[in-house]
Amino acid sequence: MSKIIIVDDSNTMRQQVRQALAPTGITLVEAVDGQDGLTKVKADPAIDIMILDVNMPRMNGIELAEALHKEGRIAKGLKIIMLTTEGHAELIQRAKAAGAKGWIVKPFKPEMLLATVKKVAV
Amino acid sequence: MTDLTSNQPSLLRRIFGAIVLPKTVSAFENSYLERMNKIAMGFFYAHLPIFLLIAWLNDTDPLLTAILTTAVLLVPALGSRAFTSQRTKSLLFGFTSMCMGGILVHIGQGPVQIEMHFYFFSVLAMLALFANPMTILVAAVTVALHHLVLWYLVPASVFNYAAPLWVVLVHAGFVVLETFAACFIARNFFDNVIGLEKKVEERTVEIRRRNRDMRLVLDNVQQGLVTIDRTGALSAEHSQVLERWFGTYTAGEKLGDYVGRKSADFGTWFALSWESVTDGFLPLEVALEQLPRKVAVGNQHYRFDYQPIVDASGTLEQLMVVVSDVTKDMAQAAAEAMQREILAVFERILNDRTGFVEFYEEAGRLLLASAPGGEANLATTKRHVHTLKGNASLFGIESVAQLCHAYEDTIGEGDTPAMATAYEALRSRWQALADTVDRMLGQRAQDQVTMTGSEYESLLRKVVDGANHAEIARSLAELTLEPTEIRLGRFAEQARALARRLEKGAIEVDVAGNGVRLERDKFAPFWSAFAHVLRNAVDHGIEPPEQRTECGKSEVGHLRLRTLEHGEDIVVELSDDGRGIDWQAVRARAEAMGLPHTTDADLVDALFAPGLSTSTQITDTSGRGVGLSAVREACLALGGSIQTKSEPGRGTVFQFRFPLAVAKETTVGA
Repeated sequence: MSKIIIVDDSNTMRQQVRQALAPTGITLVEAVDGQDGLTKVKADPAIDIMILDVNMPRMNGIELAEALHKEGRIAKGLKIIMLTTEGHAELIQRAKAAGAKGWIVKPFKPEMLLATVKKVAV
Repeated sequence: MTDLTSNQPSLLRRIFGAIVLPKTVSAFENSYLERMNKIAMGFFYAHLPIFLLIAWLNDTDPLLTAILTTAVLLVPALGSRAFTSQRTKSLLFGFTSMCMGGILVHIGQGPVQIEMHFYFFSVLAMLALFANPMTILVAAVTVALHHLVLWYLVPASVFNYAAPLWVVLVHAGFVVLETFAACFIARNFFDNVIGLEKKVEERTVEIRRRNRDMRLVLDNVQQGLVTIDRTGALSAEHSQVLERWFGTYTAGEKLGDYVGRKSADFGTWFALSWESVTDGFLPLEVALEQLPRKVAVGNQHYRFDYQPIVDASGTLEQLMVVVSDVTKDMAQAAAEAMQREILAVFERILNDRTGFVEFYEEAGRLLLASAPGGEANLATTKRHVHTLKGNASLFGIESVAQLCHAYEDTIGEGDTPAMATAYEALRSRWQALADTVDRMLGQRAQDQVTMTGSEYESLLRKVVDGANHAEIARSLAELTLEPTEIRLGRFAEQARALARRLEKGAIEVDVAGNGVRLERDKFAPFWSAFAHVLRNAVDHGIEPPEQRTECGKSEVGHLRLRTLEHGEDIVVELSDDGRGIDWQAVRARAEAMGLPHTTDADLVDALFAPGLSTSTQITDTSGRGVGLSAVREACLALGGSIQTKSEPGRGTVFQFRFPLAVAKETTVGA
């Protein structure tokens, strides 16, 4: 059974993700920035899906993805879905290089995120 | 009940229909008959030497044989010149062949004369190769006439014994039998081989016609229609309008590259999102949703819609791309937005004409001052634009605010050509607005003096009580100053509007002017910059309602705006009960920027330094580190000072203090 973490400094965004994924019944962990996300993912090996914002204080999404890549967590099957705004191709390329599997442009329709998680979750 | 048989053609008509071919000769039939006619011609020319040999060996008049054979050969030889239709030419061979048979039977007189009759039967069968029952019929009639006439006139030419009439009829019977069969074979050969070609030709014509219709559609449809395969490569078929919009079309080129020639951003973004479509991580519908939908080429705007074509297993085979020119729609939407904004402006003017005029005139000045390549340096330009953006937004002119935001981005990136473009967009939008606003305002009546009832009373009392002229003059002069109450009220309204826009819910704003009046022109720059502080308080200070309840605060955020006289100072104060300033973040940013950051005073200084923003996200409202430095500059220019008090989780107070002497300094012509 999958376990998801949403890493986003915006409470509104976290709430949106929470509501979008409610129908799946999958456990959702929340982190308020990259640093928080890193700590929580390290502490919980059951987390296998990460929904990740790019712009965040302390540690941004790209840095977090890179840190997790270095940790070997991505090789162990952590699937990262980036949430990004349109027009920052270079950020997406960096995220992909760090092992992020997919990305979704904000604002997104809840059913899009739901469909993605349903496909990716085990 | 309908008698079905009555619709059937009569037997005679059917036989006739079977013997006579349809008039049209297909290209294939024509070329086939042309070849057959040539072969037949060669075949019959070859008869001449053989017949001569037989006549010579059999001693049956070679000269007459030569004359007769040549005469018969002349029929198709001349006929091929006289007729153009290959079918008509081939009919002549029906006649020629049987005449040749007649000659052969004639020169074959003697013991093998009867065997020579085999010629008729074998050649009659061969005539089926012309795929025309009529040719066989011509041959059958020829041989029948030949037998009857010669049996009667020159019987030795046909039979080597005195054959009676019934023998002739036996021969005819066999001919009729074979004619039936040969006609049947010829007709079937025509229908199913020669005619098949005709059917194919008909279908081809039909397909060509459909293709032409399709081409006509593709050439004239005012939408770009094309499909791409899994590699993103363009198909050959496409609507012509694409070439007009995006240039020469090459089938097989990647769509991203093709459109990317006109818009590099589209190209990059398409290539990136196409990877998502094909790598299969995201669900197809989600991946497709990430494809770029808008592109601008010059002044034209296009919208891209995508329709996946999937196989039975749901795998993407092709993607249909529909491109529409939405320039007009966008112009229309812009015009509508402009109407809405004008309405908002009109409402403003009705409610608070002075406030609006002030904003309007300042905005005009800021716009001029922030032109690229002007006297101002980049930092100043950026501050001007930022102020203009904030004010425009507060007055409900979102289009200008958005264009300011875009212009600010280009200033940040130091991209000179982009700056010029962005500025021009902003300027022309402002100009369009100004044309209407100027008409609404007519004669600008900023030169008014307003007084409250209590001020009137107090002045009247002074006059009645016989106060001296100097004092009355001072009181009157003070009336030309602006009551801060009105201005603070305006700010309060703007703060509430901003809170709604930022989804902070309703906020409470208390206003207390305490009878303070300030000189309008002198304080205009300060008030303009003060708007930044106000926006910061709403955007960064006040938390969203749910966060406030989590911290045990009242759901509704609270702001207080007041002015008061305090000792020798005039104080302008703004306080909020929001999250307070994150001093840690300020310290970190100050350190990063190389500013002093050890004492509290250092941190307050850093807070007002240009370029410092603790926000990680630049929003439309704030976060560019411009606002607070502007207010400090304006405050210092008036000899003022700033005091800041902030407690994490409890809120922030900003106090701006100005010496009374400066604030009330008025020129009284006494």
